[in-house]
Amino acid sequence: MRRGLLPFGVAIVLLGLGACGTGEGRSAAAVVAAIETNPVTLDPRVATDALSLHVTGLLFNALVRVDDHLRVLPDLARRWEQPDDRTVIFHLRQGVQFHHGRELTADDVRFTFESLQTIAPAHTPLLQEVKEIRVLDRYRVAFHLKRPFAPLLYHLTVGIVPADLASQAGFGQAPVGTGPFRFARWGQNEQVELEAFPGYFGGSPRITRLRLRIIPDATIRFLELKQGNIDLLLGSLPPEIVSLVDSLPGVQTATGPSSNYTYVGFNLRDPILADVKVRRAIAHALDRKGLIAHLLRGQATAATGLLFPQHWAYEPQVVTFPFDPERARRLLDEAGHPVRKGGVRFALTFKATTGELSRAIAEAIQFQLAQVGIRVEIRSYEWGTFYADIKSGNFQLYVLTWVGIADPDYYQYVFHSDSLPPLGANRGYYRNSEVDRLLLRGRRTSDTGGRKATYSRIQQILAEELPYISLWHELRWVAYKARIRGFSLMPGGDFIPLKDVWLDDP
Amino acid sequence: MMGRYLLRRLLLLLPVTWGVSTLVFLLIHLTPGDPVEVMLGETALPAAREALRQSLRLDRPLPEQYLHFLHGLVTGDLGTSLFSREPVFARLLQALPATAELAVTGLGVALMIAVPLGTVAAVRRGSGLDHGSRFVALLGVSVPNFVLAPLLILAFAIELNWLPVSGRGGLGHLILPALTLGMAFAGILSRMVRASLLEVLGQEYIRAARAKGLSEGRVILRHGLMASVIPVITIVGLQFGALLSGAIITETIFAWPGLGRLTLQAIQARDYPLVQGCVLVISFGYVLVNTATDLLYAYADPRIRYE
Repeated sequence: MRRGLLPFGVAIVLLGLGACGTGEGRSAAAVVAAIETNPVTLDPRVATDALSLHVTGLLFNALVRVDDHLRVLPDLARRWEQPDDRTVIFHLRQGVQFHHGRELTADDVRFTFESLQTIAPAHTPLLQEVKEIRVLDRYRVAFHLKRPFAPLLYHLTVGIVPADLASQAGFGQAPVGTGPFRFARWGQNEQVELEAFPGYFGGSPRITRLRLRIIPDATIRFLELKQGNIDLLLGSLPPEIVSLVDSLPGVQTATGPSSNYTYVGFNLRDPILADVKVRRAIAHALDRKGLIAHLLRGQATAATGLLFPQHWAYEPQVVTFPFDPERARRLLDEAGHPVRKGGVRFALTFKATTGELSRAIAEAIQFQLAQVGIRVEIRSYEWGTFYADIKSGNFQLYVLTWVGIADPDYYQYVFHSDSLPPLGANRGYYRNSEVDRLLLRGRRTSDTGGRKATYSRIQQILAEELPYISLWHELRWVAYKARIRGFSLMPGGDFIPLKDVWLDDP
Repeated sequence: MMGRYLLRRLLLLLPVTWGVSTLVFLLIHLTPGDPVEVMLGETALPAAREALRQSLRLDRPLPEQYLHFLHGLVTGDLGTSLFSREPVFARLLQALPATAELAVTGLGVALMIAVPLGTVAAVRRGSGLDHGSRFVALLGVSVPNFVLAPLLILAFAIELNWLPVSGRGGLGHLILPALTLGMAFAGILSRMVRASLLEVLGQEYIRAARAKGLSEGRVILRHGLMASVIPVITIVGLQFGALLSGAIITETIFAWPGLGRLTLQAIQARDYPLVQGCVLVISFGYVLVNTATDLLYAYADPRIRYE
């Protein structure tokens, strides 16, 4: 039948057209990177999720920024002084241009922080401590605090927005900042396009365009890298795929430390888990090295506490509970949980998300705890439901990761007895008056040496009492085509190192 | 007369929209998980949470929120996304072209495969071709799209390097996602075409047409297929709605910025206005497609008339 050939012919034509679509025409100095999800907003004041903040980090500058050891460095503020322990005066750089051509002044700084009150309640901890923000002159702005607040500088990493534009609706979809890249286009769920800003005060980036393609599926991200359609992939691949990347020709990989912290959380109001012996026994029963080697393919380092080893406040001298199932069994016997019929002492529920890695970790822990007589039942839920349960105390055990830990004052939200949900993140209901006292001291003393000593003591106490069992810090990982030079990994997974990248095309 | 029928069918949009929206409103509000928690994280104080809740009207009693929502529905104001603070309508408008593109092409691919396949199977009934086509249909239905998609990508994008891996762009970017969507549908459809055509080909008037001396080709195409098209249209109508809404997995794998992905993201984030908006569009789509299907019946089969 002649008619039967027509569909075939159409298919051939389509394939031919399709082949024209594979070669991506791009100028030599453009870089294509892949990201996992659509940013929520590009307004740096409103964004709370890591990805949106990473992208806004390319478009905006803040008063200060942090380095690899999470120490504070100047950014828009070239220096600052503290005339007393409740005042900080920032001296701004002069000649910093916004992308729309106006110079940045102290007014923009004041506007940015005052607008947080109405549009960004996530910054409440900062807003609670600041009494007033005063513009002293064109390039000087003073922050007056209600009481001494040591972590202040870490809360000032919010991108500064232009006072004349940021009140308009849609600013989060068409942002204007002072950063090394300026906004070009945003196809929702498709890609974010940025271009180099020649007027950047730190020198224009060497790449002219940056395209962030949104590719939700990990396998597809890997395949696009393999095909050469993307130049750079930052983190975001499951461990089993990461090992495949090393074998790709023309692709380099690099790893570095990360500030992420993965842990097992306990509900300390639970009658069984309230006993520290039980928690220590569980710690001895877990083979963390094995979990890292096999589940994570070695893509993590064992953790001893919330802070990662490169952090300026990290305390190495803390008690640890190495893998020792025999010791675990003894502790459980001592705690009054003998082995009953069926070889089980007691049962616990483990809540996990529906993510593959989350469930794999749950199953491994279930197995390891079974060896010491604890029967674990795994319940996995979709993220929203899981999170709601954790916050309402409806759990016994769970595993999660803290992301974006910068100032050690973070401990306050996690372990202070005033930080019980919904006020804070102390979901396990941990209470220790000594730790409370130390946390307050850490918040109110400005002297770095004194703070380091305070937080050292806190880390030691928490390591003994085990409200969390520290698991690991996942390694930061990046893969890029050999033509890309000059990319450095930051522990927070920031994108900002892209401003120093150049292309080495032969 | 047809006009009145059409008007009546379109008026059906109102109760259906109301019913679906109300159901989704209840479901999403009763699901555990609080958008304010998701938005603010844990470092915000209760005062801040309350302020946000108030500004988003989430602190009002459910019946009041429902009335506000109904009011929005009637005035055409779909509200603002809780997360991005952008109008829901704009967001939906952005996602719609991508979805429409994929759904229509997927349907086209399915028809291009199923109609020849089913016709050949019916005409050469019992032969190797018939069994072969049944096997292909079975494959199409059994292989899930999250298996089919990577296989197609591996074959055509990686090994042969004929097509792009993912993303939305020109015609080339459309082929693999449309194939993935179309395959399962093609399986069902080809069996439907075969069964329906077989039934028609056994009818008296077909023998009459042959007796008149018409070529076999004309008998099958002109009389056979046209008459057997009713059940096929029914299935297409039902499935097209599913294509519009349910291409979530295909959209995710191919990084296609469509409605399915948007709906999933909105649900996970508990972004109530956005979820409502997405579901509204989807239910609209179903009603419109079903109405079009019914109208097509009348066109395809002159025996069918509406009062």
